[in-house]
Amino acid sequence: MSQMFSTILNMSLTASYAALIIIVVRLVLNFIRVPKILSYVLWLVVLVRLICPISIESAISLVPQTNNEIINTQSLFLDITQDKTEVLSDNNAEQLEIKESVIDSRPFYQIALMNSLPFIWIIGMIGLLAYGILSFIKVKRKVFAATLIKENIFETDRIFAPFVFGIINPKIYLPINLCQSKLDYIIKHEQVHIKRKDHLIRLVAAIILAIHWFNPIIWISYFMMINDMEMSCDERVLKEHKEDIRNIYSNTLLSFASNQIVYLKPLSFGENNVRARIKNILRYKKPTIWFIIIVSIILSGIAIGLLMNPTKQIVQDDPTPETIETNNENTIEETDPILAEIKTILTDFELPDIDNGYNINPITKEVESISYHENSEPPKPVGTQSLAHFKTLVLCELTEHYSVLVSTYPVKELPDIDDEDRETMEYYMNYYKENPDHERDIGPWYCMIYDTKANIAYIERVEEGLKDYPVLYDWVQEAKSHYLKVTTYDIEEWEEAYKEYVEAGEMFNNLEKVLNE
Amino acid sequence: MENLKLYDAEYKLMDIIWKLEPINSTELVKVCLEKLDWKKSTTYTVIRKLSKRNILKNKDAMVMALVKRQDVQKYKSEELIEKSFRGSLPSFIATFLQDKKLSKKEVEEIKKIIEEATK
Repeated sequence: MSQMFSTILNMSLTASYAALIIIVVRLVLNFIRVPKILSYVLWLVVLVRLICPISIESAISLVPQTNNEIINTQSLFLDITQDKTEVLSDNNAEQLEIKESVIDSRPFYQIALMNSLPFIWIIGMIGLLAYGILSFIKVKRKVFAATLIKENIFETDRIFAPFVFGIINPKIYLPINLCQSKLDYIIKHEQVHIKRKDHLIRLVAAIILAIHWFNPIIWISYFMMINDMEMSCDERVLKEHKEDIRNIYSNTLLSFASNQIVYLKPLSFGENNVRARIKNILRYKKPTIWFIIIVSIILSGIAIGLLMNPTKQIVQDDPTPETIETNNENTIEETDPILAEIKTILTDFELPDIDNGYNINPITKEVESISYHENSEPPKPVGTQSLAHFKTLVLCELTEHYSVLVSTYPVKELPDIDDEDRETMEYYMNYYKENPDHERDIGPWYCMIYDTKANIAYIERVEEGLKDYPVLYDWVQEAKSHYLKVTTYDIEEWEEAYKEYVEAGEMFNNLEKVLNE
Repeated sequence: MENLKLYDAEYKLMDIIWKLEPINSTELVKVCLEKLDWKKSTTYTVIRKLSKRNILKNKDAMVMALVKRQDVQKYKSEELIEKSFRGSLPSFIATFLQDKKLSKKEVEEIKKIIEEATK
């Protein structure tokens, strides 16, 4: 659900940009007296952007160039990191089990808030939909006994303003005792609504509004669209009468404004901003064909521009768990003869033929699992099993880093420290200072320490068997010494600790690259 | 004696009954469909409501009026509706979403504007 929420947020954001631009355009259109039908149609763009998450990328996009994936799920929501696909159940590592909640480096209240957002959204949406349904039912009850006048026009004494109601077979409902002169124009107005399927558009817009209820720009757009809908409808009625009916039409509107109750959901003749509508009616002049054509072309251009996404120029700055390519990959083997030799050691060896619980793949020579009884100790690797075990560790645990800087999930590459990291660590150092009794077991510092201790444990598990291969053994001891140094630091010296952590981490990263070549 | 008050729809139904009573209920449904465009369920619902108020009776599928035409008066629906509807919409939503009803003064102002513009 947080995935869907995040998609909705993104759509809401893009649509908001489009809406703001359209609001500006609309002001211009209003100023130069463009028929309201064109502004009305322009809102389609916002509608589309609110329900369609995908779009074409194009250089002619008018959507502002920001990182559109600003709202990236991973940076907002707690990413519960499952344990890596671990097949080696390591006894020592289990004692220092990573608690899932520890991996996130943000304050607790922030995590709780972020995680409850999708639920708040759903509740708001359901609330609004429920209100809509209740309104619908209420109106239905009022008009159920309306009586037929002609065609699809009904009358009832339970209403005070005419409106269209009904989705599949929309009907026009009129209050009784309307004077005949008003009747014609009202009916015309409502018939235009029905012809243009405005009642359906209203329904769709209401649903979309319920989905994007948290976005005030969308609310504003909704009411502006409704206004444009009504005004363009008025204009259409004026257009279809040869004589000038502005006087009588405005008076009809006025009579409804002064003594009626407005409904929220159905289309009402007297609804929404009567004064603005009357002003619009009085100013209405039929525009020339050329004027309309030119304006339409310009608006189509704007609409298309708003429907496209800008071409992405910014690389997402959230680190992903996938490996990021580093340069000079192919020169590692050449420049480091030691690694080359270790590679040979770890490739050319024969596996002993014993059955002690180690299940090693004979082709890849990697350990697939270790079986042993729950209550007993895990088996010690025999002979070259150590090599296999070590190799497996290098390809998994020892190259997955939970570092100070990227603690929400393991990464392969270790980033450099930047100001944001310093800020984060400042925060944690202050937290510990203010809460000296608190266990140093939260946040990125803890993750790094934990991972360091786990790695030391892994190394100690296999190092005995590596003694037969001095080159390898010394190398491993060097890496281990870096990790041991890390454990001597306290959080105040986190930068030094991180340096040592990176030293060891990069040793293993390089070895992994060599092994995979 | 107080005049019984009926809604417009109820009055129209009674009008048909007074003309055609006693009338079989299925027959009545047909007439209502033709004259008023009411579904069968609508007709029966209104019959039920009126029967509860003892304005008509529906016995053995025969419908008859219990009151005379001169004793009945169409309800002044404005009062009733205004009170009930007003109370149900939360007032802040109502003022936010609807145009406030124009005062007499505002109506006069706008009337003048219209006259000027369409002279």
